[in-house]
Formats: sequence, structure tokens, C-alpha cells
Amino acid sequence: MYKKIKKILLALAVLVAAMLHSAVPSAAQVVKIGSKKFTESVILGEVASGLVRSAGHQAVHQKEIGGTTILWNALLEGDIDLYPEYTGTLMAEIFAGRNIKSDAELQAVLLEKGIKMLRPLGFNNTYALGIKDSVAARLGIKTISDLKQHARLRLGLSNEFLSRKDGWPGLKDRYELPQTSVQGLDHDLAYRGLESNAIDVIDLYSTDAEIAYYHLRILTDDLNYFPRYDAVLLVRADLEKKSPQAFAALEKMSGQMTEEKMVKMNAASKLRRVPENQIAAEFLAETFGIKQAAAPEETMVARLWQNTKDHLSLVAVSLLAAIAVSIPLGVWAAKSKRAGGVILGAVGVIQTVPSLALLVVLIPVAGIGALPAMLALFLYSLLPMVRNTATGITTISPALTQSAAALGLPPAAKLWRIELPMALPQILAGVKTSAVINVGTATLGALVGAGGYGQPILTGIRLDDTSLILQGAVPAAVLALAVQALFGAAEKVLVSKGL
Amino acid sequence: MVSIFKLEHIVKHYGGTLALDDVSLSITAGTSVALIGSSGSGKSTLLKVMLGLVATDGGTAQFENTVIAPQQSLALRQQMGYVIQEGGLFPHLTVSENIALMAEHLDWPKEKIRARLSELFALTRLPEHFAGRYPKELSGGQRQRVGLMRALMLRPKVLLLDEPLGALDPIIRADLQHDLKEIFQSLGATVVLVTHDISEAAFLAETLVLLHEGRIVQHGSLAELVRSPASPFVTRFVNAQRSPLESLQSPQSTI
Repeated sequence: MYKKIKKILLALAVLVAAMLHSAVPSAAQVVKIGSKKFTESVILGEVASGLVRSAGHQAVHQKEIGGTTILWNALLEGDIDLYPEYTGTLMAEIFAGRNIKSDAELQAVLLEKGIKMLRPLGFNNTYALGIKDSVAARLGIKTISDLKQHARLRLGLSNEFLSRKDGWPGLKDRYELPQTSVQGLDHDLAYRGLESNAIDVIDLYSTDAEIAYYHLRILTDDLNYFPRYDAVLLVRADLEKKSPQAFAALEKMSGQMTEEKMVKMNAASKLRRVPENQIAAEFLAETFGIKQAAAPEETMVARLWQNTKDHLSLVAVSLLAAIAVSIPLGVWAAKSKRAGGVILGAVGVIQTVPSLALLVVLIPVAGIGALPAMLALFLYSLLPMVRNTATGITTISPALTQSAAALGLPPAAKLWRIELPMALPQILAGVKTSAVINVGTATLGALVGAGGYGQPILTGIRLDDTSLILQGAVPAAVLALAVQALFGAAEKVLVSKGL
Repeated sequence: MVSIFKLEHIVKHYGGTLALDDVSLSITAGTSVALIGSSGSGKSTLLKVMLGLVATDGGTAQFENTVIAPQQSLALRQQMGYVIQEGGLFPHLTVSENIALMAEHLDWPKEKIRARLSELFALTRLPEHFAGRYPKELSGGQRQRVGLMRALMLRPKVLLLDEPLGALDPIIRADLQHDLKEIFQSLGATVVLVTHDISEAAFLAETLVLLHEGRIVQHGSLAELVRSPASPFVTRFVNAQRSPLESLQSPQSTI
């Protein structure tokens, strides 16, 4: 029996090694483009990709990976070569506290970090507050200052806006706004909330396609609170040496966009569901005369298959590695009281770190893509397995451990033949718990570009497309159930009938 | 007269309580000895000292002129068979896996293991078709027989039994007592038995060692304990366990 377990463990170790190897992509000379998880950023990323390709280079677009922090760190670490950003965000968020006033100053600071800011693309996408036109007319609200007279209005603000230094906290102070009902929510869901009258005022980007569609009024920033948010490309300085043609092609994008064009492109994606690569291709053809064969759209089955492969490899690699580490740690914790306190304390603390925070922290170590997601999942998987292994062993009755000792069985044999097999039901229960949690948490991997079932969920939320969200949510739920069933079966095979 | 166990001035504390207080005892090879006494008298602890399961706080314990030290006593323990209440069987192993555990660990050939198992099933009068069952599928008496087989598997020089029949009902207990006595006689091995039942002790062992509060009070046959008690406690202990027939003779005791 224990020889069987040894064989299984060995096979698992080999599998983990093989999967880890395949999960790390080879570093070929390609230009890596990143974009934030909102439509405008994705479109700009697609346009940039097209320009890079027109210069004869390969381009990989890591679409919709999280927010500012994740992309900025990925750029600094060289996991991506460029991404579209806004000057306001750079001044007020990334370099907050440095009191940068002009684009020239900004350029200098960025260059110190090895980042080049190309000349502005040509449009200003500033933050703004929006309200339904009908409500605004009824209450006579035209400016942000007018909000002071209507303390009962409910605000639904995007989570990033709520926490940004140039967002809600500063706005509230500057205008002395009295509203107390302030909710954080996803920006793409905010429009729905407004439409259904669940909230009255939202933050928005001035190039959002929905402004016209939902008949919204943008409130005048009468105290000039919001800075300019000129769209720019941030490019790693070393790209100019590595691929000068690509760099030159990207510079062509400067000054070619207007607010009007951007709103139109956003509308094409969000309201007419035109794929972003097609929108970008049209823009490239019109503006630069660049003709590209638009990549054929992926079929739903192909996409599902790809997401399934990505998701499974995230779960399998992280879980197998966690099993290989947790069980020895659990045994150690059971054998030594002092080590046990430290080990269980440490894995317990890891569990309390919010998953998004953990992903961001891991970027400098592991970059973006599958690796940081696997690392995060690995860390989250430890606690249930370590704890169950330790309790499984410590709860074996003293009479039995004494029996084993009295037989003259050495400690290693005692562990393999008595303690681990007796603790096996508990250990497997821990593995099952970790696996199910893992399947769910792995959907967050899409935020760092790891793909998986989180990808359609993320895109679905961005495009307000329920069927796309379900393409991620349903298979994730099915996979969780399948994992549960698999471990039920494993328990029947592996656990002794005598227990 | 070769003494197989030689204990000299053994002292053992458990926290603040003194479990063994200067105990010296020598056990001759091939004899049977019962350690008796009430609970807390130190009799089980003394047995564990012989096995090297507990470290002593003073004195020396020797098995065939080798010092018993808990850290190095694995090899010694393999020469001793140990049986506890309910058999102490591992629930995840079948009857034959429990019995053959150590033999397999020592890489005995399969044939040798099979032959030894057959002998033991015959010796303990357990049908061989029980071999594939799990402990939870056995009665208390059957588990005890399996525990005994496991203790005997490696042909130990001594058999140490800690309240082996403690959890059994009277009829099964009586059956097993008879079987045990036969087995002891046929093996000719040294037997050390812990029990609080003086009649069981007298039935199964030649010599009785009475312990009280961590000290040996008297060492001798039942007849010696009855006729020349070393202290009033010995008489109290011997008289405390009545036979049921006594109550018949004095019905007034039930009022």
C-alpha cells in the first residue's frame, strides 16, 4: 500500500516539473503590449500591436490585465514593453507626492526609471461625474458644485476612483460634497446601476461610449479639480535599441487620435460588439493605410478549450506543488509543537492576504502571466492541507502510536505504514478543499494575464455581455464539481476499508 | 537461574507524581510473573520501562545484560512481544497485515511469513479466514487473539501483556485465560503480565509482584501472599476481590 503511495507521489513530482516547464514561455524577440481592463485601453493596445506588426515585428497583446498597479509594475519589470496610460494617472497616482506639474517634468522622471513617454495620442480622457439627463434637468444640476444642494443623491463610484488620490477623496474635499451614500462598484456595472435607478451619480471617463447611449449629462468641473488625462504610450527605453523599427512605428500613433474618434471606437466595441482587433484594423487602414488581414475570430469552442487548458494548468500545477509541500509541512507540524505553531501560523497568515493584493505583490517576483497566478494559488492551497495533515496525525490515539513504538517500528516506517495511512482521509479532505477553492480563485488569474475561465468573465463584465460571463462562470462551476467527484473517487481507492 | 530482566532502583516521575519509587526486580528466563496492584500503583509504568517505552529518572534496567534505553531500544523491542487491552490493532490494516507488519518491515520472505501466520492462527485458535478482515469486523476476544499473534510473530524471548483481558466480558475472558495459559506453557517463553485481578494473576503466573504507590510491597506466590503477608495492605488487596460464591454463603450481606 505505501509503495503505491510512494509511486503516486513520484509521478506527481515529475508531472509538476513538466507542467512548470511548459508554463514558462520561451523568451523570443517579440514586442509585448499590455492593456488595462477597460475597452479603450484594449483598443489602443490593439492599434499599437498593429503598428508593431506593420514594422515587421511580432507582437503579443496581453489584453485586459488588471489595473494601473499591475501594468505599471509589469512594465518596470520588463514583462511588457509598452502600454497605454494617461498623464493624469501618472502625475496623481504613480508619482503622487512628487508634485509634478508639466509633461516635461513627467518625461524626465519616467526616463529615470527607464521608461519613455511618447508624445500624446491626441485626446484627453479625463474623469468626470455623470448623471441622467432627465434627473439633472429636474433638479437643475449643471456643475459639480450643484451637487452640494442635493445631499440625498446616491453615488456609485468605481473602486479605483474611490481609492485614487486624484479620485473621490480629493473631489469630496475640494467641493465639500455632503453625500453619504457612496458605493464602490465596477465601472462597467455602474451604467447598469444608473439605468435601473439604483444610483444617481457615477464617475466616468469622458470618452465613454455610454454617455450618449444612456443620455447622460457630464457635470462641469467648475473648480477645475480633475487634471488632464492625455492618453500616451509608455514604452520601455530599451525597446528603442532592441527594435528601432517597432519603436518608430509606435511614435506614428502620436497626435492621430481625437476624442471624437475615440468615443466612436469605444461605441463600436461596447454598443455594437465589434471585436477590438477589427476596430483597430479599420483605424490603421484609415489613418496609415496599413492593410492587415484581420485575424479570424476564435470560435466559442476553440476559446472554451483554450480557457479550459489554461485554467486546468493553473489549478493542477499549483495544487500538485502545494500537495508536495503541504504534506511534509503538516507532518513536521505534527511532530514538533514549536515548528507546528510557526508553520500553522504562517500558512494561516498567507490565507488572510486578499488575493488581488497577493497577485500585485508577486509581479516583481514572478512577472505577469501564469507564473504569479500559480504562485498565488499555491500559497492559498497550503493551509487546508497542512492543517488537515497535522490534525490527522496528532489525533491518532496514543494507544496506537505506543503500539507501533512497542513493535520496534522505526520512525520512518511508522510514518509510512501507520500515521500517513491513518491520517489519509483527513489529508484527502484537505486536498479536496484546496482544490475546490483553487478552481474558483484561479478565475482571478486573468487579472495578471494568466488566462483561464476568468478571461471571458473579465471581458464579459467589460462589455456588459452576460453570455460571455457565463462562458467562464459555468465551466468553472462544473470543474469545481468534477474536482469534488474526482476526490470522492480517489478516497474510495486510496483509503483503507478498515477506517 | 539466568535473569532475563534486571531492574535496579528504578525511579520514574510523571510531572509531580512519583510513579515508580526505587523499584528493583529480577525476572528469571522462562518463568511467568504477574505485576498486580490497584490503578496508579505503577505496574503499567514498570512494564513500559522493560519495553524501553519510557525513560527512567533513576536506576538501571537491563534486558539480557543490555541496558534498556528508549532511544536505542528498537532492536530490543523486536525481541519482546507486547499486548495491550483490545489488542492495540491498527484499524487500517487487515488481521494478517497487522500480524505481519514487523516481519514485512524486516523483509521476511513471503513463504516464511505465510507459514508463521498459519502456526499462529492454529496456536490462538482463530479460524484462518479471518486473515483478510479489518479490526472493526472482529469481536473484542478475536481482536485480543490477533493482538497476541502480532506479539508472537517474531518469536520473541519475552511476552509482555498489559491488562490483556481487561475489556472482555466474563465468559470470553475465562475462555481466553485458559487459552493463554496453554499458549504460555507451550511456548516456554518468559511472560510478564500486568493485571489488577489477583485470581487471573494466580491462574496465569507462577510469581506475583504486588505494587502499591510505586513500590514493590511483596514478591512471591499467591500462597505466600495469603499465608505470610508482608504488610496489612497485602491482606486487604487479597481479600478485596471476593468470589461470587462468598455472597451465597452470607446472604445477610445483601441486607
